[in-house]
Amino acid sequence: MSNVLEMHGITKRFPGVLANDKADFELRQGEIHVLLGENGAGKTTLMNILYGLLQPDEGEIVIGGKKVTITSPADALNSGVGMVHQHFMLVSTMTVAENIAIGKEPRKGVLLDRKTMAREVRELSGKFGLDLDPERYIWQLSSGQQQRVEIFKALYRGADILILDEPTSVLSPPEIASLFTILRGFAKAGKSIILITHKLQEVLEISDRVTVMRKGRVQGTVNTKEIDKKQLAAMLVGHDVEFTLERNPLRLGPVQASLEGLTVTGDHGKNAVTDFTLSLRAGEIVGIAGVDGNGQSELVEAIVGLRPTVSGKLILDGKNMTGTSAWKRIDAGLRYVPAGRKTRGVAVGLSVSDNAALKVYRSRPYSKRGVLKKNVLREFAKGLVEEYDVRCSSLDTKVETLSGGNCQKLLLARETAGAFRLLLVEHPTQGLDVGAISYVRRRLLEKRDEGAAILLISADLDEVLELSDRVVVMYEGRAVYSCDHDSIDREAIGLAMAGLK
Amino acid sequence: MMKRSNWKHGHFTMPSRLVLPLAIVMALVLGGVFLACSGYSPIAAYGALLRGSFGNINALAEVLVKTTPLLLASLGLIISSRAQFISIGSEGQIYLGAMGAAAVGLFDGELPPVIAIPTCMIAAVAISALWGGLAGWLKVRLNANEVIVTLMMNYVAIELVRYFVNGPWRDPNSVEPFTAQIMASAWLPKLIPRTRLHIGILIALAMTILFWWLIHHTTFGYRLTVCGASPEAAIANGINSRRMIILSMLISGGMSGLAGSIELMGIHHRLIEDISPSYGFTAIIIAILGRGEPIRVLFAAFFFAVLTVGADGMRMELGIPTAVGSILQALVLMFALGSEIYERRLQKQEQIRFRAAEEEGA
Repeated sequence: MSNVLEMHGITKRFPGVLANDKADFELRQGEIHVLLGENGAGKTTLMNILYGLLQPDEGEIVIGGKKVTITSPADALNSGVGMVHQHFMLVSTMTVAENIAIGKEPRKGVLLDRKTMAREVRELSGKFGLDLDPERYIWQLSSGQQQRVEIFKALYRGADILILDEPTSVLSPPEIASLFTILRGFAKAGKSIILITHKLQEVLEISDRVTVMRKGRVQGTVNTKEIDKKQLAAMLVGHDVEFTLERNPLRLGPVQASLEGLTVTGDHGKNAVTDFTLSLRAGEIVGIAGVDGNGQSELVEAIVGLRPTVSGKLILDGKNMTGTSAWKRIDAGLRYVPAGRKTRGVAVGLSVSDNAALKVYRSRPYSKRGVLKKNVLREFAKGLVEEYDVRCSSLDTKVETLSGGNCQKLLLARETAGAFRLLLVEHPTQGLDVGAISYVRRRLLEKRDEGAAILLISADLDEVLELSDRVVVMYEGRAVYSCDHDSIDREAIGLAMAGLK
Repeated sequence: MMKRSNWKHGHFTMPSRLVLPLAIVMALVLGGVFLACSGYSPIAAYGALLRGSFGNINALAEVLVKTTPLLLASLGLIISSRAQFISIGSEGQIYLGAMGAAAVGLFDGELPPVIAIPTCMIAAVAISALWGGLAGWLKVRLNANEVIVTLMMNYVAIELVRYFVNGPWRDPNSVEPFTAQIMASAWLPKLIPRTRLHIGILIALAMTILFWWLIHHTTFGYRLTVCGASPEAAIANGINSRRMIILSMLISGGMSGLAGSIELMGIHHRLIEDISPSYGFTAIIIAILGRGEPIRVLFAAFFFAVLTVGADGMRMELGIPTAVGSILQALVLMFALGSEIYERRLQKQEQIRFRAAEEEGA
C-alpha cells in the first residue's frame, strides 16, 4: 500500500515550549492509524498543522506524492484532509442537511435546492452506514449522531484523509462500537483515517498501525498486530527517569485531610470518581497520576466544593466537610491552585493587589466587621509580590497583563500564605517556560518541607514522579495503584494508567 | 519602569484614558453638524443649551432636580451589573417606589416630618427592593432571562400604578387621573426657595459617597467586584454568585424605589400616571457610561441632566425641538460605547509595550 500522506521533520515552537520536535508521520491508503500520546505530547499540534490551523516552523508535508503548503482548513480540504474536532462545530437550530451543506449548498437560481441536498445526504449516508435523517435538527440528536454529522461534513467536502480528535471521549460504549464499524467501512472504501486518542484499549481494537508521541517527539510507529498493551504502555510513558530537584527526607506530620470513599458524578451523568479513598499528612506531597479525563478534574472540583458528591466523606482538619460550601472549606484551610490560572485562579480585570486579597480579605487583620483595611491588604500584596518575585509594574497593574509564570507565582503566593490545611495543586506548570516550571516545583517542595499537605494533580507524569512522596494512579475514577517515591516503578505506573492493574 | 514615549515610529498613540472625553467632544461636534444641517447655528444652539442649564439659579436647580433620580437609579444599576445581572427593570421599580411612598403618605392625619419622610422612603425602598429581588431570584432559581423578566416586570409595575391612580386611589375632587396630595409633612424641604430644588440631591450625593465606600472599602463590595470581573474565579474562591445576584438586585431595586419616592415627595407631592419620564431607562445608559464607578456615574448623571434641561432651553430660545436633546444623548452613548473598542485596543498596546520594556529590562 502506498503512502497518501507523509509529514517530515515537523517542528513547532510555542513560547517556552517545543510542541513538536522533528516529528515524522506517515499514513497509508485505507488504514486506520492511531496517534497515541499523553496530554501535551504534541498529537493535537501535529494534526492542527496538517489541518492548516497552525503553521509549522520547520518540516514539510507531502500528500499524494506532492509537496503541499497548508495555511488554512480550506487548503486542507482542497488537499483532501478533513478533521472532526473534539468539540462539535454545528449550528444546533439548523437541520442535518443544512449543516452539512454550509458553504457548499446546491442551488437552484438564488434558492437553496433542498431536495437535492436531502437526496445527496441520504445517498452518501446510506453508502457508509451513517444512518442520518437529513430533516432532523441538530439539537434533536445525541452526541454520537452529531459526531456522525461532523464526519459526514468532512466526507461531503471530499476528504480522503479523515482526522478524528479523541472521537470516543463524548460517546457511550454502544456508540463507540458503531463508530468503529463506520470507520472500518471507510477504510475498506479506500479512505485513510487518523485517530487521536490516549486510550490503549481503543488502539488495539480499531487500528492497523500506531504512532506513539511523547514530549513532542515521535517515539515510533508499529503494526498493531505485533504489539500488546504492555508494550504500548511502556512506549507511552517512556523509560527515562531523571530527578533534578533536591529533596529533603520525608518528615510526616499528623493527618490533615482525608477522602473516604468519595463518589462523584461527572458532566455526562456517569460516575467520574468512584469510591476514592486517600489521606494526606502534613509534610507530604501526594501526586495523582493518570491519563487526563479519568476523573482527576472532577475529584478536584468535589474537594474544592464546586461539584456535589454522591457518597463518601471529605474530612478537613478533623471536621467532616462533606456537602459544605466552597466558602466554608476555605475557612477550614483548603487552598487551591487551579488549572485555569486566568479563568479560575485570578479574576481578570482586577489589579494584582485585589487578586492577592482573595483568600484573606474576610479575616482579621485584613478586614473588620465587613470593612476592608486597604493599607493592610496592600502591604500583604506587596509582601507576596516581593517574596515570590512576581514581575509587575505596580500592584495596580491588571492581573491579565502578567505572564503565565508570574501569574502562577502570584497564585502560589496567595494560596500558601498563612496557615492552611491542604493545598490542592492542579497542573501547576502547564504552559509555563522552563525557568518558571522549576521555580514552581522548588516552591512546592519547600512548602512540603515546611509541613504542608499537598495534593498534586498533573498530566505530566514526570512532574508527578519528581515531586510526589506518594503516587496514586487514577484510572476510570478509581485509585488503582499507589507507590512511594523510593519505590517508583515507571513501568507499573504506566500499566496502571492504561488500566492493566 | 521606563518612561514610555507616546511617539513611536512617527505615530502618535493616545493615552487610553483620553479616549472617552474625546469621544464625547466628537459626539457634540457631530450633534453640531446635525444642528447646522437643520438650519440652526450650532454655536447659538449650544449657547442656548448652556444658558438653559446654567444661565440662572432656576436653570441650575432644574438640572440638579433631574440629576437626583437619574443618579439614584444608576447607582443601583452599577451594583447589579457588577454581579453580572443586566437589569432593565429600573423604570418599573421607580413607579413602584413612588407608589410605596404614596401608600404611606396618603394616610389621613399628620406625622412629624422626621417620622413621615423616612417612613415613606422605607416603604418605597422595601417594595422596589422586593420587586428587584424577585427578578434576581427568578434568574437564580429558574435561570430566567433577566432582560426579558425585568423588562416585562416594568409593564406590570407601571400598569399597577395606572390602575391605582385611575381607580381606588384617585382623588375624587379631581378630573385628572391622580391621587390627592400626600401629607405635607412628608414633602421634602426645599433647598433653594422659589425653585423646585429639594433636599433629594443631598440624599443622592450622600448615596454616591456611600456606594463608593461600599464598593471599594467593604468585603461585600470586594466580593461584588470579583463577581463582576470573573464569575468563575469568584465561585472557585468561595463567593456565592447566586447570593450576590439576589442581594445586588435587592439593592438595585431599592435604589430605584428611593428615586421614585424622592421624585414623588420632592416634586409632584402626589402619585401621577407618569411619575417618571423614562428615568429608569436613561439610568441604564448612565450606568453603562459610569462603568461601575459611583463617581463616574455622578458625572454622567449630571451630564445627561444638563442635556435634558438644556434641550428645553434650546426650544425656548430658538424653537429647536426637544427631541434634539434626546438625539444628543443618543450620540454621546454611541460614541462612548464605540470608543470602548478603541480604548481597549490602546490599553492592549500599552500592555504589550510594558511587557516588551520588562523583557528588555530583564
